Amino acid sequence: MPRPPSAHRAALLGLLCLPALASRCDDATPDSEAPRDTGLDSFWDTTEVLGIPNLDDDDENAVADWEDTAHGDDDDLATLTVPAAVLADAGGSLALTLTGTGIRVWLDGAVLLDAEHPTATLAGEEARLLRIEFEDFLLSGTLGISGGDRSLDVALLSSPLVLNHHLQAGTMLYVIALSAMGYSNAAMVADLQEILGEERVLAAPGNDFGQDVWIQDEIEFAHARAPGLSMEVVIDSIRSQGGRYLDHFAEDYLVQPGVAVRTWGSGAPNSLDSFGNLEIAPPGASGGVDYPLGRIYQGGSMDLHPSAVLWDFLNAQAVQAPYRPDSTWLCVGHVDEFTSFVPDPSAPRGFRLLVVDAALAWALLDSLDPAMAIPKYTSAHHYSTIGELVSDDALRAWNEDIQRDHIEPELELYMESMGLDEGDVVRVPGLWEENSWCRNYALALIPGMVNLAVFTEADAPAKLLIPDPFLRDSDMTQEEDAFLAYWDTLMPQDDERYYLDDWSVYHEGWGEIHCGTNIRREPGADWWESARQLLGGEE
Amino acid sequence: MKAFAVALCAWLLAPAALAADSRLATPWAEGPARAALVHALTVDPTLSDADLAEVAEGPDWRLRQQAALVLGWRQHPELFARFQDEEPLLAVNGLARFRGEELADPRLAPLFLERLLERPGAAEEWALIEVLPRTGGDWAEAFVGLMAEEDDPQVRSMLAASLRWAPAEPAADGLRAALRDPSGLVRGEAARTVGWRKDGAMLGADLISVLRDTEPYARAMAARSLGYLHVTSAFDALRPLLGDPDAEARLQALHALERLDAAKLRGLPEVARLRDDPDPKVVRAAGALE
Repeated sequence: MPRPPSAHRAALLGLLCLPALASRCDDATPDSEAPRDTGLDSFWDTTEVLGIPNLDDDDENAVADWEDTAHGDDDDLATLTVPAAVLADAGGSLALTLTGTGIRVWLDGAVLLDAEHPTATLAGEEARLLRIEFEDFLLSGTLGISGGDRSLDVALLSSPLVLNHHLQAGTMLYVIALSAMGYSNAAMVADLQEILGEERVLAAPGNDFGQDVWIQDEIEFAHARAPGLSMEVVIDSIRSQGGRYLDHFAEDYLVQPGVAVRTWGSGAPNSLDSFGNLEIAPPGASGGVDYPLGRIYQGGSMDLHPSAVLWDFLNAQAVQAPYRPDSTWLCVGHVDEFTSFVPDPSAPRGFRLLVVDAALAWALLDSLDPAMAIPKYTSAHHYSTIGELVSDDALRAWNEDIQRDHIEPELELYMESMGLDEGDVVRVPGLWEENSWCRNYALALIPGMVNLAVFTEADAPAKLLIPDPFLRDSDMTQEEDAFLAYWDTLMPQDDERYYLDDWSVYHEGWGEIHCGTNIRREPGADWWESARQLLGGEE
Repeated sequence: MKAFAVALCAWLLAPAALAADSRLATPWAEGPARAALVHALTVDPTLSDADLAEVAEGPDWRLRQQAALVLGWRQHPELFARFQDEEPLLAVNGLARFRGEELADPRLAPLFLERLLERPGAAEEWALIEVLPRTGGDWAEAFVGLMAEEDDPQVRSMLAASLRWAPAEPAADGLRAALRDPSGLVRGEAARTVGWRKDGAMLGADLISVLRDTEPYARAMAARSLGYLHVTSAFDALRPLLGDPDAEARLQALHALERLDAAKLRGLPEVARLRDDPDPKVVRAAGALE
């Protein structure tokens, strides 16, 4: 398990690479299977070896590799080559000393050093390849090497867990195909396949998961990386347990060599433990601190919050220092219901923050023909015409309260936490309804268009997958939907916008497209290049 | 059982006479026996559609329900067969909900109400209470009746909340009763629901009484509703809530008073004190009045 944050920070303070020696870090990579013979002096300049926790199961024997001490040949171990010249100069042997727990040093397929055997002698005439294995994230230790009249302390450090944000290119979209009990999302799945290509959409059968379509809430994709090493980590939420619903999705579809699944927390979950409530803002700065990997935000309040175990773990990772908006005014309680970050190449920071603004919705609705029927809303929301909607004074008053009591204060927190100004924010129209089945808190009345999925492309415009608002009569098309048209003008025009029918399976289930999809992404920036300062002990 | 069914048929054929008979007012058993009875009545050639239709327009909601159910099975069996066993689907927060535009069909009300009367598990029960108003059918008086019989305050509060969508008369009856419910949760839910109704001001005096409720949630919701409904006569009764020990009650009182008379509110000395309130939302709301 990771050490307490304070211990981390104290230890890590002593581990930072001096910029002048940064190139030495690169020597400790597994680029070559064969030991590389480096110069005698340069070896003694080595300052650190960065690695990743060996959490996956490369030999697929159902035992996590760290626990599987029969094998030392995984591709997830950092390396340190001891040149022949070093050994020769030391008279043929070096004394090695390991400090730190959760770290092993392997030599020739066997454990040479670990917490129980912290000292060893390295002897020989040829260059030797030491392989360094970590048990968990952000573990630190020291490998002491001495021989002849020279000695060296090499800092050992495993990576933090880094969660993906929306500016990272997507590689695969996951969705649960539902066609049972009178419900179907086949049309939406087909649209997704057409937009992204069938090879980039994995539609898992709902029958295998109790018709649980809320894949966003079940898993969160992340990476553990170090120079030359990379492992994808799937955070499996405590939302579903005991093999029920989507509990086994990660094991069924994602686990493979190079991909590890981990869960933080246990016990009875609440809706805030779902990962629609765990999002990552793109890179920004706040209070003079740069966050080149973005910042995590997870909703909650003092009285109602998600698992403290996961929150504490994410805090301890430091490089994406989490902030906590209050999302408990929402029925479902997820931050993706009222905010989202979308790529925007024309924006100063490369993205915009979308936030719901009810006043914009009312302004538009008031301009529409009150006689226009909105049949989708009749069964779902008790409003049959635009006129019924705009004449509901209580709905207007309640949305006014939601905006000023909740959304505006939370927007201030977002802006402060990410150093945003008004120019970085796009206010988008949306209306809320109060729902008695959901603690009387807010639910999207017009489909929560801000609750969209972002499939960023490496070399092409990002694709925004947006819920269709259906604020129109049944014989009208999307092109005739004034609400959709207005929304579209507010979106980054460099992004491709797709408005999909998520009504019956998702919107009427109190979620939207983002809740019902999950996007795997390429790794983001190298933390050891851009975010080392955040590991340095900022309190 | 057969004798029972025959007796019921006779009762259905002569509703006016039997409606007065309290022994027969709620004669139906629960569980499989009830389902068997419904089937028997559905196929009983001695019971005409016209007779059933007459009962289905009668004053007693239980008799109406039973007649409408049998009539429904006769007149649209495919629709009933489809929704008889339809399960609500898992919503994003773990609750379950029926979905689909076809639910806005008054013909479905007796079927869903029948499923509710069978007392399914809690998840389905909540889903049924939620879907019934969306059918647009005959459910409101049943909810008012069930509120009077229900032991679980959670269920009573759900039934009370549904009265937001009910016709005026059953809504007024049910909400007035719910505002006096032994449970603070139910009183609060009723106070909240009144504020959503366009005709809610007719319960303005009842809401003003709830401003002195022992339950903070009820006080807060009564205050909110009085503001939404623009019950200007409530201004003085709302004012003490600016010093309420409950932050939500203070906040809702502030908002309500602003809606009733913002200028008068700004002149109150309490507003200045609320700018130093321990609750940030209250501070924000009071500050916005400057």
